[in-house]
Amino acid sequence: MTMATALVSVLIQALLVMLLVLLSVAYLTYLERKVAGFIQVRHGPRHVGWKGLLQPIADGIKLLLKENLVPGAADRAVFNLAPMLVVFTAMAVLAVIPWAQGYTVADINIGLLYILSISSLGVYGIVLGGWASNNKYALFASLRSAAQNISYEIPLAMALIGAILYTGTLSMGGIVDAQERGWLVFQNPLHWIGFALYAVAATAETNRLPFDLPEAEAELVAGFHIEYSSMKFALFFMGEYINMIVVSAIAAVVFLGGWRSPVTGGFAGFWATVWTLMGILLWSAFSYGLLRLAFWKKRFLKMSLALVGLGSLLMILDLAGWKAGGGFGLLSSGFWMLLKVFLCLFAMMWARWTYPRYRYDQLMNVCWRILLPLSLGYIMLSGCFRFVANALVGG
Amino acid sequence: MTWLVFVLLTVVALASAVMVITQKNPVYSALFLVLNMLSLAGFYVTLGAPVVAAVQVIVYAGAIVVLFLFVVMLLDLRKSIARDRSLGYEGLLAIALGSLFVFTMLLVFWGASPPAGGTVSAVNGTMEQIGKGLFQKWVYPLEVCSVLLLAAIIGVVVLANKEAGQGK
Repeated sequence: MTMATALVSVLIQALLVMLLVLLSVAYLTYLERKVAGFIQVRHGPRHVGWKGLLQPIADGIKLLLKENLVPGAADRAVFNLAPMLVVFTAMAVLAVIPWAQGYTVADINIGLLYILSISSLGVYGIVLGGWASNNKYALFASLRSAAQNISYEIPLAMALIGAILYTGTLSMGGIVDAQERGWLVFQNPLHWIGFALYAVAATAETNRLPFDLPEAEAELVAGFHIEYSSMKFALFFMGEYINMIVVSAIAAVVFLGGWRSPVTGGFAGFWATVWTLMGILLWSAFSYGLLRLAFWKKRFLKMSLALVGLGSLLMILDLAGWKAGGGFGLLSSGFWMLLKVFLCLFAMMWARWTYPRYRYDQLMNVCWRILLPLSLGYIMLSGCFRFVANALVGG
Repeated sequence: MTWLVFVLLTVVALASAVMVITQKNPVYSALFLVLNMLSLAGFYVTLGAPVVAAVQVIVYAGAIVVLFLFVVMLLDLRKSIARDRSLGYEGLLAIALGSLFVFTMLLVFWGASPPAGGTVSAVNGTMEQIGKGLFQKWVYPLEVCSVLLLAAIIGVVVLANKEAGQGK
């Protein structure tokens, strides 16, 4: 393949991923409102289109048509730059995520480091947005949010380091390959701690409740984007939802086996068998919970039955050694990856409508006094396990 | 292709470096500094050292310049803009140190022998090579550095606590 065709092919792939993710972002707002409705025992959006499915499009049109206000004393160039930065840094990370087996735009060998470095730039959008508005409340809010984002980056990266010690590679594809015999969380109970640490830090990084101090609708009105309106306001929100997808995808890839099914190792060897049984147990528990819910609330019945049925079928095929073309096939690998991403997103929404918000001093205490020591301990223990494993197996 | 990327990065790096020192608004200066650091990271990638590039972005662009921005935003900007911009002894010092730097760089440039074949081969910048370098060959200097950083952190905590104590 020549340079030009390779370039065009990568551009098309990138465009496709971006479009699909933007579409998902629109429907994540719908999902969020439906989940909120479900938890608060009401219906959520249901008037625009069939079951309210056109609601995100109506919202989009509304935001596009609104007046685009810029405060008179604002620094116009920086004011316009800030929301772009938020969306750009969130989008750029999508390039290295393996959405299904072999479906990555660019599987670079420092994938995880690339993600951390690009997302560390996301804080500029917040800082500059607050400063350029020339509003003292926006400035205070942006300093507060920037402090939060910089602080929680540390436990987030540390939790990932502990996991990388096990997988031995930074490439996102390589991390999935390293979980060939079982998901990371099955391989060692230690990684439950890592996963929990990652989940908390990622929730704070994406400014979601219970860590949504950057916006905090009830107490602070809007925080750093108080002066933004119309599509620029929407861009901040798109950035937030893209970041949710990104952190969920990283969680799925690093801790939950990426596009692998729960029974990925089959019965090859003792530990692979144990991890496969754990996978079957996990899937059964999930299916049981979902079906209980579905039979109680008849709304989800067909959807839940289809999900459980398809998942079980794919798992049985996987166990029976069915591998389309030497791999898992697009259907199976895509199904598992997207299901994991979806469940992580759902958990974040669930937490949002369940827990109250932290105070700012509590937020900082949680990060520096609880998460940081725990994540350091996780790295040390993970390193010890790795050392013992190396000594036993010999590399 | 590589040549084109090099030219683009060079133009961006030089232009942003000039903008850093010519902008009147310190926030703009800091933003151009970020751009400059990102283009430097691009150079590292083209030299085959992606890890150094990623660390450059995380440490400099992602953390240090953010702190610069914090300080700039919390200071009163109008005063610093209105300040007298004539060069005093700082200017002379800057010219002297700048000339020294250019002289050193030229010495290094002329002293270096070009590699066979005329192209620069990949620098040792992959994760494995950096890890082995840090934790095998240079492990004692690394530990000394870590003690230095620890001392700095403890110093900051002590100073911050002193401030808080005075406030009470």
